[in-house]
Amino acid sequence: MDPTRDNPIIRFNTFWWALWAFFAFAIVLAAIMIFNRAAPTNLEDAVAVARYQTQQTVAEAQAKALPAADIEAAIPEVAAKLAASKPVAVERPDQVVPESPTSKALIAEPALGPTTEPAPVPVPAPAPAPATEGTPAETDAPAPVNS
Amino acid sequence: MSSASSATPTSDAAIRAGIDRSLRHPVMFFLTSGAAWLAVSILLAITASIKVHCPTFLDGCGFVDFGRVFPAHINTLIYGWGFQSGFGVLIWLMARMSRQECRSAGTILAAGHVWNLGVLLGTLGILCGEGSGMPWMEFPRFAWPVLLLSYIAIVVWSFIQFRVRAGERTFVAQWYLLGAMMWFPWLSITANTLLFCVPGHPVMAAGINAWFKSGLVFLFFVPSALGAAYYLAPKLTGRPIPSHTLARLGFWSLAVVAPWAGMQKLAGAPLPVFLPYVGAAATALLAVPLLIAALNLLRTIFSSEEKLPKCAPMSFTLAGLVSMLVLAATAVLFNLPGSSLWKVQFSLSGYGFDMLAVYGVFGFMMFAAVYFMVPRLTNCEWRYPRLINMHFFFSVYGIGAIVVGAMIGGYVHGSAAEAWLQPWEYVVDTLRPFAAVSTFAWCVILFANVFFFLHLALMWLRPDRLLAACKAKTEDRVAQSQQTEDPQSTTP
Repeated sequence: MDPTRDNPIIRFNTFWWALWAFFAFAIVLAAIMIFNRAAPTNLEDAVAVARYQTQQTVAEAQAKALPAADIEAAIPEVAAKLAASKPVAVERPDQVVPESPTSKALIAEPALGPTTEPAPVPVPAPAPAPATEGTPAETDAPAPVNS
Repeated sequence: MSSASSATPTSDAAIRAGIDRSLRHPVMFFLTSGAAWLAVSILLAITASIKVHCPTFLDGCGFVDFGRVFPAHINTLIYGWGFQSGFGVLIWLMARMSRQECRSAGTILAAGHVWNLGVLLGTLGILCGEGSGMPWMEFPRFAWPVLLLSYIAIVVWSFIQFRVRAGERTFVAQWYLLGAMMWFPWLSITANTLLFCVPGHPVMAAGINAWFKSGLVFLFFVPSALGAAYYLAPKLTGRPIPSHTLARLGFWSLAVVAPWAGMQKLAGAPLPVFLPYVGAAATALLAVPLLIAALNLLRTIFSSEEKLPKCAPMSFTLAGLVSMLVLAATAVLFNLPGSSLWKVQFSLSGYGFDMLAVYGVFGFMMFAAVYFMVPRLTNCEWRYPRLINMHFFFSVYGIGAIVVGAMIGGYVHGSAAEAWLQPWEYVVDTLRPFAAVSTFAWCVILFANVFFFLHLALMWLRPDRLLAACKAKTEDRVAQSQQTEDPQSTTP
């Protein structure tokens, strides 16, 4: 073993060299990031310019079609109408919860009073099919009998 | 391995004993706390695995969601067990090979506590939903500076020992250990700066994350494992390494190829198209340094004319080398663009590959080193050889089941995901049996590792010695009290 090799100065220097080596990566990375800040000029960015223009045009057209001032002006009138209107319960039997008291009442109702069912609407006779040439279309009806 | 020191055998033994004494508490602290974190990690792995095949398990607890438990499992495995066992082995091997006593044991021990605090807070952060969402980097932002600074405070002294080493020559093991020590700060500083300090495009962030993950495997875990193996194989067999040229080729090919790997994870993503292909090619090429190292070490072991010693370090070293050969084969088979890569890219296979590298290669080598080092550090032989045998067989069985299950299951999983006409339930169903196998295997590994931790703690704390010291003190006190009560009794 070389006795001059292990001394406090070499140990001290090595300590700082090791720290420097660890953080050298960070320094190199910082240098790359600082000197590599040019704006990207790839195809994606070139296409993006046109897309941003289209987006701006659409936004402007929308703003013209529905100006914010008109909306602000309409609010008091619509609000007054809404405040004046009274909510009315919607009675639709198809939305009644099955087995609920309302449902049972509705089922029991026809037995108590006169029937409220509408009279059956006569079904119009089907129009005769137009005569076609060639292969007839496939249907569920039985095939015609040749007489 | 020949000694670089010109000291006589007696004085060399005294130097080695001094090194062991100087590093006893830091190294035992790292190994024991690493083993404790390993048990925690496996417990989290079992929870995560059960949730895959039984989703209602613990579904009322938000903090043990799969999305939190799984990252907590991976991060405790890497930063709790992996790094800490790596620190223990790395600082001991470097001191031994440099023939230098450690003069900064207190600083290393303090930094080790800070590291543990960082891992604990990071894990709690993940479980509380503050994880970053980037694989292997899920700890909240505050954890990274803590871990990096404590890392530097732990390993910087090994550089000094290497610089002032006895003799001019260096060992192959030292190359790998120095490489691992240098490469981790590079990976950590680069990835954390680009992801957390000056974040750029989100797709590129995913790419940087994939590069970091691959770098951690091939530039920290694999070199640390190879450093330990290149030390243990000649030590255990008494034979030198057969080819230094091959060893040099293996080291430099790893150093040149490994930094390019990782981006194949993003094949098909809107990145410059060459990046995933370069990543896939580099990962496949990594088979070369892995094969070189594994074959060189196997030649060292089997060139011995004497019968191989039947001991835990040898068994774990051989298991680690076999895992390395499998890792080399898998690196090629799973990274073939146009055939297998598409099927395994987002499947369970990635987990199998990670476990093979972190547990199969790195973990087994660390266990080998632990079983070699601890009797020297504590000056006491292992107390329960049966526990060691159990640890070996259960670990090999468990990790074999997990890796094989995950790799085959991943291929099936990926193929099912590619069948896009099927509903996604079908893909989930294909995973269930493999997840059940994984749960059982982790339970087996947990059983073995709890005893490993207890065995290690017993070796460090030596309760028998403490009990003997307490008994001696009590006897002294009794004798003194008897003397004070009856001073005449001692007089003739």
